[in-house]
Amino acid sequence: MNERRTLHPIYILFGLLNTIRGFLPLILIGLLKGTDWLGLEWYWYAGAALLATAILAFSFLEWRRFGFWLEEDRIIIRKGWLRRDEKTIYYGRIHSVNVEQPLIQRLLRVAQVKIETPGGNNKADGILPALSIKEANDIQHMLRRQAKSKSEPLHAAASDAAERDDKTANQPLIVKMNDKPLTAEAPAEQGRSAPAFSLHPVQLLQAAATSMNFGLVAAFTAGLYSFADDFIDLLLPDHFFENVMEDSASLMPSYIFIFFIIVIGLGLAWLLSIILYVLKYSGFSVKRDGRQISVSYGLLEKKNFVFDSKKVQAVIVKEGLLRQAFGYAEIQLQVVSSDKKEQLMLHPFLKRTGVQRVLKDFVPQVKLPANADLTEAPKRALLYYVRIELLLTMLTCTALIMFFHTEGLWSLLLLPLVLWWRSSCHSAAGVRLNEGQLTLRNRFLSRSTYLIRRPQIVTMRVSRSVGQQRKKLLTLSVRALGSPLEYRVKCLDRKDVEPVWQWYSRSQSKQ
Amino acid sequence: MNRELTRRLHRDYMTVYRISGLIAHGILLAIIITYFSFALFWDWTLIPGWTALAIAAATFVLFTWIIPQMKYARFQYELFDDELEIQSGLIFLSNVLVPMVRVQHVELESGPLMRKYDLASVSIVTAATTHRISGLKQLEAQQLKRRIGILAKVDDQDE
Repeated sequence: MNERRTLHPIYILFGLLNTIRGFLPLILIGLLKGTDWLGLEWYWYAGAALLATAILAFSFLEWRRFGFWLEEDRIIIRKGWLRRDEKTIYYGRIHSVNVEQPLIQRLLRVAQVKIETPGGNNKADGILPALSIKEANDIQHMLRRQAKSKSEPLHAAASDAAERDDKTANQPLIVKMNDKPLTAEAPAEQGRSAPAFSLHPVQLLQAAATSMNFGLVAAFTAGLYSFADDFIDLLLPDHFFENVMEDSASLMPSYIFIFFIIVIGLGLAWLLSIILYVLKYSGFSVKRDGRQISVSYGLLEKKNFVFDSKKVQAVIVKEGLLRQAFGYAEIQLQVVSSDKKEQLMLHPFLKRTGVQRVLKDFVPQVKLPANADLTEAPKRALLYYVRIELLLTMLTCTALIMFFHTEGLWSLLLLPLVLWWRSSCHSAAGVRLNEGQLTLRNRFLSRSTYLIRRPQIVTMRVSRSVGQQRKKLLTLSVRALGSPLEYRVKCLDRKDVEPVWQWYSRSQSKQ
Repeated sequence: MNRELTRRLHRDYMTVYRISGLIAHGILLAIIITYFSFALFWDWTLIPGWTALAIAAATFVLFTWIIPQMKYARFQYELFDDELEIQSGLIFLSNVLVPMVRVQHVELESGPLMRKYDLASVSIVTAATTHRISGLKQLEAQQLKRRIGILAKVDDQDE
């Protein structure tokens, strides 16, 4: 168990490939400008060769120094050549173990293992950057198994088989199922009854078309731009964009032109969002093995997350505007992760009516109540939902009318739109407390329902302005591990929030 | 949010807040004066200087007069056996509930200015959040820190 293990030797190439990737824009420019690669001065080759050797030598030393040990109750990772670094992670503290294949790893047919623990910052606590795919999966399974048995003291004590059988006999059925993967032969028969599903290509396309994932598009475009920016100036003739704009602008009246630009831009963004979505989530599949949930997806960059269903902090059911119209939703899980940007997807696209079944299969501790069961925000709260946004829109309209005169009047169409948007946010707000579970619902663009149990709530906050205090309105927010943001519902009735506050307050609920 | 929270910050906190506001605005004023002297010397436009001065005057009133008073008046807290409740805010009054079982550690800090007035600030850190009670007398802060240290206990997240 505790011999020294090393990374896959291909790790030595990583440094080199990363450097080449950094130089990619330069190389591309060279290629496009038709540089004569063979006719360069000799010192260019010598320099490149020297740099490559230096990086290789350095990576080799790094690889030599990188070792990890799988001990009885913890994993120890030692690394670093100039700066030594040793990390110890107890299995019981591990929240999830992910096997990922970013582009470089994917090209070289290796995988990286990420070990996530709470309290980490932007990087995962334990990263093993290069292992053969089989090794990575083995380690993932082994770690998950260990994490489970360590987090349950009953099982930790049971080291010999006889004693374990004794104890598990008294446990409920589900725990017995968990124990099976501890023996090597078991997994084959386990796959039979365990709940699992994978996403059909048609479903994936539907999901992609209705996702409108502008965040993904924005991130992609920004990345592309910063990459392209380096050499776009060198390639295009001067004032290329300005000329194009002027040529087309002179042909059409300006507002039609702007309108077309917007429509084309949105269309392109939508197309791009479909492509990116498909690339990201294709091959989506989820399965449960005892209490362990495993989620994997990705076409270019493969990801595989394995975590304990008990370590799920909260469940978010999201319905985008389009999806809500057709009665579809997606399910996200809030788990502790070093990726602060987005939550883990449990199901990207399913009928809302099917959500409860999936939850029962994978995270049985939470239930999705019917929409009608949630207590909505009172009528008098509408004012606070609408006023600031409406004011801002009015200011924008005034400015537009002042600049464009009659054409600016079109901007008045924004007013009913904003009013409709904000009042739909108001009607989406809701809260429910039932069987130890708090359900919150709100909308920004997509309506999301947040399901959380009391032990997972880290802090709870209520806030109100003086005016809201007088009108007995309260904004409720809760915070859980795994997300840097609070989840909040604006301006609920005070008498609906008070029970929630009492329920969460330990000293008040005791009395 | 319904029960009475009895503990408050120390009044000296307002003084400290005002002094730090004064210092910041002193620096700002120095910058503005430098701009004016340069502008007069080189014949630049004076408009940015006047706008900056107007803004500085407004923030000066806010930060040395109104905000410290409001902060002091609205900040209340109380440590119960199982949880800490803090009420704070300027425009929005907010109450936050921090259960003792979620507290990971407590920090005590005080800068040079706060030390001069024998003040300190206590930070209560949970796995996801940090809550600050800034402006208690050193002794009180020490007691609060010790008491939270005793009350904070670890429990497993599993129900």
